[in-house]
Amino acid sequence: MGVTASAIGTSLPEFGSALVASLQGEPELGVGIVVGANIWNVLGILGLTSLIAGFIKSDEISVNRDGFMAFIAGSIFFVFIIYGYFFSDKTISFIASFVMILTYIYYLKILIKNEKNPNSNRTNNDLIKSENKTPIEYDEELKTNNLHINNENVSKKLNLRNLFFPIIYIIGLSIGCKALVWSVENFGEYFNIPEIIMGLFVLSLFTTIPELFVTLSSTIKGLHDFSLGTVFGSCVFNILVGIGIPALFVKVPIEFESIIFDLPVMIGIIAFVLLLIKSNGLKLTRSWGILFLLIYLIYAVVRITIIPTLGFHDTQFFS
Amino acid sequence: MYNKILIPTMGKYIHQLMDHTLKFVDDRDVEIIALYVVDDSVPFLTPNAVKEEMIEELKLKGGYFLDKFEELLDLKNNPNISLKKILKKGSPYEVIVNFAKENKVQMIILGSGKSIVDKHLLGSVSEKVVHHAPCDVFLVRTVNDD
Repeated sequence: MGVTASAIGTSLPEFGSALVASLQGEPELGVGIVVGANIWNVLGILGLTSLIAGFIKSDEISVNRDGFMAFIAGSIFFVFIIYGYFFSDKTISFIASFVMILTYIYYLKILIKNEKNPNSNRTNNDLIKSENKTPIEYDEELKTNNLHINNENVSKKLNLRNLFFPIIYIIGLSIGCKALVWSVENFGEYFNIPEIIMGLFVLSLFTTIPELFVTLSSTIKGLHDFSLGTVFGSCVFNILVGIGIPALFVKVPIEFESIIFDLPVMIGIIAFVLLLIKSNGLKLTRSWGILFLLIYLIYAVVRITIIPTLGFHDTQFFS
Repeated sequence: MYNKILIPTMGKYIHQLMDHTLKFVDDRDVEIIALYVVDDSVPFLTPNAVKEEMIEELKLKGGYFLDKFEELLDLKNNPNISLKKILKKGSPYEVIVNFAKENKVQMIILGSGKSIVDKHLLGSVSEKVVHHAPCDVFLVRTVNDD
């Protein structure tokens, strides 16, 4: 469950902040966090990681399962947004959030099924083949840490921890997210910056720091599947759960800028990066990393300076 | 002379390391210790469950590389070589240097590793080992084989 744990674990700050922002009456900020975090995840984090680590290799599973699912999740969200804006009350409907959450549960089921299938783990197979070779001498700590061999013992030992730590974690996450949203919101108000921009570029960057660290360190250590799985898995979680859950409780308004710019950019860059990885021998190089960062910079400049001047807020297109 | 050789491997350049090792050993009786170090350092804000999974993945990877190492060493055709495969956890350069000290290793063979840009961005285990090793170091000039 490495990639799944990493994707969900690192996405909790985005989810917490989006939920806090939505519940305290600023759902636009929540949508901004999710869309901004996804664009930054794919362009910024993959860009920075390939720039620093030199390259990111991928396997077919990360691209075909997690990457494709990120694209599907974005597309599902886009369809509901278009429906909500043009054919409903310009909000994300209860049914949309329900479908998004169900889609995530289905994705989780696929992940768990793949994890249980021993053939999905190539490294394990390679180890089984090597039974007749010289035995490996393990560090004492590594022997006891063997989750695959001592799975049952470990889960029994951790029972007490499993009960208390999530509660402490949720309390800590709520306080942290509340403080973050509060300070960013006040900062935005003080400098007269729209909520969606604060969500897209400030909160999203803060809340994706864990993704950046995990992706970068796992790539440097050679765990390339982990890095792409974390990035794309986070994108799926951010869209389907980060928007799906808040939309269950509050009416999340749809902004026209999101339909014509932010969402197409998000889906477009996910598709672009996936196609690039596939056509490039499942590898992202340093020069691609630089290109990704440049694209992000162009997106940020256009979104902050040009899009607001087009006056979509005041114009009731097609309505 | 040089009967106990330590070869730390991270999987990369394994073929180049092996070529040079076999040429260097020739037909002398030598004990080779292949060492893979699971780098357990994670950056701040990494969830604990993710850290544990990363360590587990690296351990599996290490086991695979050590087996690959043995395969390339071809012990059947090189009966003068005895092999030990060790998998340890910690900071790679510290583990390598301490292991060499504790086990009275006579030589460490490792790859020169990364490019100049990578060395500046990521740091180099080889460079640290060269400076702190308690024994001679045979630095193989490795070229990227990706």
